Amino acid sequence: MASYTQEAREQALVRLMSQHGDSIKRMCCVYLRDLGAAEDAAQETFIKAYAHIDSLMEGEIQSEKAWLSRIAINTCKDILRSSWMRHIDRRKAIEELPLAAPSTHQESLELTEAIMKLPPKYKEIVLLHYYQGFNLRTCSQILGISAPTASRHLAQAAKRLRLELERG
Amino acid sequence: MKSHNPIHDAIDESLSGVHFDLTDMHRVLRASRLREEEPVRPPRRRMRVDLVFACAMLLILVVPLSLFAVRTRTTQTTHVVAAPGISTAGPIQTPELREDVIATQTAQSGEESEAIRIARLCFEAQCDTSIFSFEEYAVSVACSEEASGARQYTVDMTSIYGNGCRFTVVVSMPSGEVLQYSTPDLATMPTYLDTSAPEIQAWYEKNGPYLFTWSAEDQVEFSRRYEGGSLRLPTEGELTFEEASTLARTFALEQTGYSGSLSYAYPVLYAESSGSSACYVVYCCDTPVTDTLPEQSITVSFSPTGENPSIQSNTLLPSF
Repeated sequence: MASYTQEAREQALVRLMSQHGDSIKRMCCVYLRDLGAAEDAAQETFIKAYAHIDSLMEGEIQSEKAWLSRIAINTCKDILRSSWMRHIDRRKAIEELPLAAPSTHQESLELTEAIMKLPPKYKEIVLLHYYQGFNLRTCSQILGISAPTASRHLAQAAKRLRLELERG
Repeated sequence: MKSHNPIHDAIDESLSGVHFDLTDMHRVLRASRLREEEPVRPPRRRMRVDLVFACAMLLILVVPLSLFAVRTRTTQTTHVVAAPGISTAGPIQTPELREDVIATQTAQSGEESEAIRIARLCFEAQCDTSIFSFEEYAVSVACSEEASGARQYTVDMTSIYGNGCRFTVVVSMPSGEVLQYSTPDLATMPTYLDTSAPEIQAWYEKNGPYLFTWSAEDQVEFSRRYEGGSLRLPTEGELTFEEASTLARTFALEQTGYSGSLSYAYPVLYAESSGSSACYVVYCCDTPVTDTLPEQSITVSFSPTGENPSIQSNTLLPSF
């Protein structure tokens, strides 16, 4: 295995952060419904990625976006499992998060809020498929579930979203 | 690969204020560097308590063992009552078993000592021992056992001067292989000076608040312990502190035309680690430096052999 200088590894990390940082942080934000926790999760995602950045630089990782998404989803799950998040509900409605521009369409806010309200197993498939743009096969690989299960989760998530939006 | 669909657009629009900004990047880079400096430790499995597993263990192990213990205790009580005068000492106190325990402990501590010895060799091979010797570190050892039965000893050396210097070596035993060691520079490069620490306070109480007024030996020793050895004593062929003082005073008077005496001169010999850019800096004034600095002074610098003298700062003549 080739050994890279610290500078080269850090350059690769900075490139990753510049390229994928926003979408990873937004995904964490939707998943966790907490901006502070999302910041922690997004930073932790890249710290974990840096620990294996040699593999990325050597081309052993086929899709860096899928790789980062998997790390981010697992990090979010860890945070949700942590005692702090289990006992203290810091989740907020999207209106309480000063994240959107004033001109944001109400429909967009409602849709994002509806996604945030989904149970984690539906939320993650929606985020990976619709937000990150992965096909179902890649989603199932990232989540460690079978493709039919991923497809079923996606269908149920869509149904729940529709119901939520109709009710709202 | 950006997919233009309502969900993607809605999330991006709703969270348009969320960015992975420079602060995030700096935090990631700093944390990554810190983690890289830490030695690799064997991964520890996170303990997960499974309710079904716990209940099963309770049924299989704890309940039968408890019943057995109750039964045994009843039996022992009966024996004690039935045979008064006979020693009731437990088996752990028999001489044979005690020797076994001692032998095991000796073997463990022997292996630990060997791990420390290997860590010391690693320290002496990797670090600059002209700054700190092995004896100037407090050593602690942590042991973890691998599935293969081999043990990993993490030997952590922390400077006894409380200056943040640290060196960590991970040794696999019984093979004695060094698996990992921390960045050698951090073992000899003090990272902070805790001025409120009792030892530091003792130095200041003994010598006063200004390092340049201390004796040469104290300056150098303090610098070695807490500042990474940025000061040193003159070597053969270089000016002594007295000679440096005389040269500085003479040069300052000649250059400035000052009519005072500049009777007090306080030399410091700065030395970078490379040794190539060492220089004397001499603080000259008319009155002695005590708890406060005199308002009027001239600072002169030159090479350790007295070449290239120049005036660094001059509060005697404002235009200088």
